[in-house]
Amino acid sequence: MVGRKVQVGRVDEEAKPVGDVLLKATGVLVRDALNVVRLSDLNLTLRGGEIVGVAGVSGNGQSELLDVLSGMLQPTQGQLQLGAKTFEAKAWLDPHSARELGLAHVPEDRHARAMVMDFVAWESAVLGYDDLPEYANGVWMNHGRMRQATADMMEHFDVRPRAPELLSRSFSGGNQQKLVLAREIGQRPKVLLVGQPTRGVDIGAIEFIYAQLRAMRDAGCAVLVVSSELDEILALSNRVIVMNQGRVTGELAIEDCTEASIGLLMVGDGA
Amino acid sequence: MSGGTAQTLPRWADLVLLPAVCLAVALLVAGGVVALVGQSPTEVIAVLVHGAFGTARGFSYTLYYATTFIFTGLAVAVAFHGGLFNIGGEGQAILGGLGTGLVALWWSAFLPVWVMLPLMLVAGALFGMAWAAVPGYLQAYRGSHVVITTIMFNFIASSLLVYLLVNHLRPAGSMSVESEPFADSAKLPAMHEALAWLGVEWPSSPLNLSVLLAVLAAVGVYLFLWRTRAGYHLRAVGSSPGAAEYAGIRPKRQVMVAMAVSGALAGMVGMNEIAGVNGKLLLEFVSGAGFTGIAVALMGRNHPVGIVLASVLFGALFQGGAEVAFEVRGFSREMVVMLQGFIVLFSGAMVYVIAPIVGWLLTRVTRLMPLGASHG
Repeated sequence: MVGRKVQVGRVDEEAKPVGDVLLKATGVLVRDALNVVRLSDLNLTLRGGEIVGVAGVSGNGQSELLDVLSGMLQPTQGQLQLGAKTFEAKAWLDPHSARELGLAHVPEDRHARAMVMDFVAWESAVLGYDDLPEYANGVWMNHGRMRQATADMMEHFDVRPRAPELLSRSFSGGNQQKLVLAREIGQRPKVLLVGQPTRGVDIGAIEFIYAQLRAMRDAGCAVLVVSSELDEILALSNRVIVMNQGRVTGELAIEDCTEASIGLLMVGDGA
Repeated sequence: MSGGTAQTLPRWADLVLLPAVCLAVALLVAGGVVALVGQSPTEVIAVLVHGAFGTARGFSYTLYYATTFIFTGLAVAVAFHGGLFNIGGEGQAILGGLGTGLVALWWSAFLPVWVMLPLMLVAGALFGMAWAAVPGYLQAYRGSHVVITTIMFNFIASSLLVYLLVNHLRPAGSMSVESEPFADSAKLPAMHEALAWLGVEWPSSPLNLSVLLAVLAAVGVYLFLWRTRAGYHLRAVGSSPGAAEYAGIRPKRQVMVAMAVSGALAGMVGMNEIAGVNGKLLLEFVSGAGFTGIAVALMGRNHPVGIVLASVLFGALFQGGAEVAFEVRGFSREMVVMLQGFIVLFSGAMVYVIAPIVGWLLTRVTRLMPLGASHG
């Protein structure tokens, strides 16, 4: 279909020692507007040089987990340690500070969040980063630099067509995702949160995205992957946490992962 | 939020061809109605165009009307790019005029002109801004819909102006509902005066230097929306609140920014009508321009260049229309209002009907042309 052999399965690799703790969430509780508990007693540690997969049937708190960790959602209780900084529920992280602290986030919903569909590609390619010194002259935007940076992103991540002036909505899902990934990886984050890395993405792009995530891990980044595709989790992760009804029901090293063991945890039957 | 159906059209067609087609259809339909009531459409159009553009005086009147529409049109457009429909241009313009007028009444007797005019401009912008900021706040932090609150604020603004004029600003013993005239230092020079200083002779008209201010405002709005980070944030919120939030932009704050800038622009109407023409505070100086601004912004595709062009068009309709009502027997002022109505209808609501047709025709034409070339 793509004219060559595609490798999207697990790549055999020797186990590398993982690095320092880069993100640590403790005792996080999230209640929504109707006071329903969406996330409870969540403890999570991400270390440099590992990919942690989050498995679970969609709607069991994975989205809330990403939102809490990226600063988009303020929890009811809990604590978050990001690099040298510690945040309490009352004064939680916000998306802007998160970026400054080296946390990048590829959101699950590409259309509603990751891009402004009515913006041209280069405007979407600086979303969240327009205050960077290379993009901004004080209150003004440096259009030339933004266009150039977008052209570079498109070149490195093989975004097609290479058209920074095209509307964001006109790109295919895979090319949109590659541009978003290029933007988020481009600032060399220490922590990378990725929701549904390959939803609606063609097979060639899937292979490419996997390679990029592995490259980030090898460069010492802590990567968290939330996906509804179990194969994807198994192909990427060093360890897997499984969620059910807003709780972590189990954590498995990749060697211990089978579809059966994860499946049981997904329905909340870990015992 | 921005132009959902026009997506299939190339940019130039969206900005130039589509408004032109809408205008043509509106004129065609209006011409049909004119013919139905037994008048000659060609005569009416000829008188209208000549009245609006044919003489220096007529053209000056056209530009004078356009000045006010540019301010209110820009106000609507800025709010629109922030995802808000500000229907309160009328009220914000009234309050802006009030601010301009009050400053003039209080200080024009002591302060020189070069202090007064900037002061009046700032006061007008601030009054308009404050009047828009209240619905902005209610929308952002209390969830009251800005369309409803801005409409209500139009009525409050109008009543407030009446109250102040009748009870406080009217000179004792005067029967007309207007303030005392300002001193000369609060008068924005008329265009024919300014041109006379430069040695150019120009017929006298209400056109004044605020037309330059309006053009500057259009340039400023362009720079703000497309060149500054603040404008980028505003447009991000307007197009996709979710993406903006993800980017660390606070949507509530952007609602306030959009309404404040919008109100300030509408508030500058006072510089044309109060400082430029009347030289005193009075009733009805906005007279619907706030609502015409909505049509102007729609027709101008919410772009400053489009808004300036659409403002001149509506200015021409006002001026040329008055001329037609005067010159053509049996053609009343209401017929001119009908013509404006058709233009608003076709460039506003019907644009979503016309856009696909234009798109279809365009693809037909572009498909035929390369075919002809390659087979030739």
